[in-house]
Amino acid sequence: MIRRVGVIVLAAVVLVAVSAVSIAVGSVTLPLGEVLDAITGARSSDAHLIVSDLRVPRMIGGLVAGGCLGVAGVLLQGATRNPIASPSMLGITAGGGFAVAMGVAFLGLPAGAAVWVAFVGGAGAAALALALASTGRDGLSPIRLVLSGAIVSSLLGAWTAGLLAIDQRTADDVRHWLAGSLAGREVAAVGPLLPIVAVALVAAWVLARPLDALALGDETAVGLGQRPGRIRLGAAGLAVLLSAVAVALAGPIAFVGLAVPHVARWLVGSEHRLVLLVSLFLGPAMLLGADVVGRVVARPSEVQAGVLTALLGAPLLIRLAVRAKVAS
Amino acid sequence: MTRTHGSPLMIRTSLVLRRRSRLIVAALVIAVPLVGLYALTLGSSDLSLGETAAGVLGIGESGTTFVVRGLRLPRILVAIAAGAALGASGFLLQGLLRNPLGSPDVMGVTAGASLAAVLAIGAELAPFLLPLAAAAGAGIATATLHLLTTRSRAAGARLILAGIGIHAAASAATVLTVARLPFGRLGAAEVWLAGSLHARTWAHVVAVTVAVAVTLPVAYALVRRLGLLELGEDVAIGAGVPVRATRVELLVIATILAGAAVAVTGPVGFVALGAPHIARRIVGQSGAATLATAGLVGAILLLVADVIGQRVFHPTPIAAGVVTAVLGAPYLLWLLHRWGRR
Repeated sequence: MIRRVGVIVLAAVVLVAVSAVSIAVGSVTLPLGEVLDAITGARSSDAHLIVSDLRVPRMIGGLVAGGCLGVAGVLLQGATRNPIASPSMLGITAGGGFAVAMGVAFLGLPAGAAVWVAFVGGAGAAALALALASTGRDGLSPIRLVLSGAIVSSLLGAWTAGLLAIDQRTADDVRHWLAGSLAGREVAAVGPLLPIVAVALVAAWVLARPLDALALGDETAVGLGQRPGRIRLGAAGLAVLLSAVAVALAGPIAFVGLAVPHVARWLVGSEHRLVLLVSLFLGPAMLLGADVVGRVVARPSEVQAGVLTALLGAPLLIRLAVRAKVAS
Repeated sequence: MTRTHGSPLMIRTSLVLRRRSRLIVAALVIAVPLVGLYALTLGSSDLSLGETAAGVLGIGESGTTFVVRGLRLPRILVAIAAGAALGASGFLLQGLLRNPLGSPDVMGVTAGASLAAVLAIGAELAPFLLPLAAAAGAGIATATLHLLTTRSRAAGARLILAGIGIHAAASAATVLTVARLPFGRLGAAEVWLAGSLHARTWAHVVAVTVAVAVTLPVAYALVRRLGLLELGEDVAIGAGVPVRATRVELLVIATILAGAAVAVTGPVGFVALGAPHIARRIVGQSGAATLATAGLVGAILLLVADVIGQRVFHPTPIAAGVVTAVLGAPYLLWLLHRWGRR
């Protein structure tokens, strides 16, 4: 018990540290003293502008998006009992990205609607992956589900790229966001999303115990008075919603939702409440960490956070694909 | 008289099949230059077929000859050679992995080639070294795949997922490399990464043609053993095929073909995946005719994609790689669907 509390505290400390670094470090080098002055409100300089208008909104966006992706990954891996399931491996983030590129950039929907557009796109993509995986002769297998999701992702990615190639004008606005970037966030964009996130997180917490029961197998779960179908539907719906928030904030970022739950389980075991809590801290830590590295690795230009999460997460995917104990 | 030769009816069917596949290959051999000639007429100013043909032969006006021979012909020849290389590479790799989705573009081989090529651009290597660098990158990706297939015995969907992982890692590393390129090299890398046939030169033509000319005969010689391998390792061993050596040879040839194509076109998706499937549909499962058909279909696919890219949103040109990805991706989905029902 003490160890588990220790891990949660440690995860929180890591998150705070990474957040602090994400304010202190950027493509423009600022002395630490100026950063501190800027935070404490001495509104004097460029430093204040950079910190309060660029870095703080970026950090807040990363906190929310990363937390959403981490929790969504836990829900999906729990609901499908499949360690390779995650928002990106099931096509959810790519579906959201395609829908937003289509809706906001081409049909001119207001930017505030992005989260709901992403929700519809993500749910559609996940349904397509599920339908494709279920056509197999021996029914739905976990490996086929993620393979279908990955291929749906690549389809939607190709179409999104095609959309951008046709319309160069919108391309410049959208391309950066589509690569999974936290740059250029505004605090105003995060505010309206917070109630959604809060409701979804509470619901995820409520679902944690039923997911524990589900982990014992469907029959045992039924014996414990649970309804596996409903739990799965609820968890998947929540995961799509949380992923949609992340997509609206940061674009289709891959591999955070895949990797973070694994690290969390490795730290605290398989109890879903603990895994959820730890993932809620580690998700943003991974995303913000990737964002910070992306700012300094190619100065004076920047590399989108999504590129670095892919670089970190892809080896894990290869390992899981080859090794994981999943019925194929 | 033993019955090992099969019934007369079977012999007749196989003869009919062989004659049919010869006809198909012959028809494609004629079709490729025709499509190429049509593609040559397109451009910023359209020429008539007669003018174009005269330009190719060098008997027309000097301006036309310059445009056709100097600007358009290299582009078309690169499309044909690279498309053929991709089709053949996909055919070999799909057969070797015994997996309909196991083509170099899905499995991260072309992504590995892209990464190496971008690194080479960054290191300011001479342009003629680019194909070698790309082949080396493709080789590293293939070696990883080979290790995965032999060490862990990952097969089927798992293997494809691992390949998708290799693809994701290599693509991300490519973006990272491009971002770190000095400003002067950025343009070259970005044009190349779009998978465009724009502004190809005779140097590109020579590079890819040499690679294809050297490797295709070897591929042709390996086809019979590949056919036996596809029947299963036991069958192949029984027939006296040196399994391990054949696998390595096939991997090397498929890698060089994919690397050479990527080096001159940038990453062009779907051709290596789709061409072998189309070939198998029209001439049957495996054999030299299927290899030839896969190459010819690959050439036509890339040519057509380039024509579509130039025409459909005229005057905005779309890179051939974007066209193949947009049109090919649904086919990939359909393939997955069919694979599941098998």
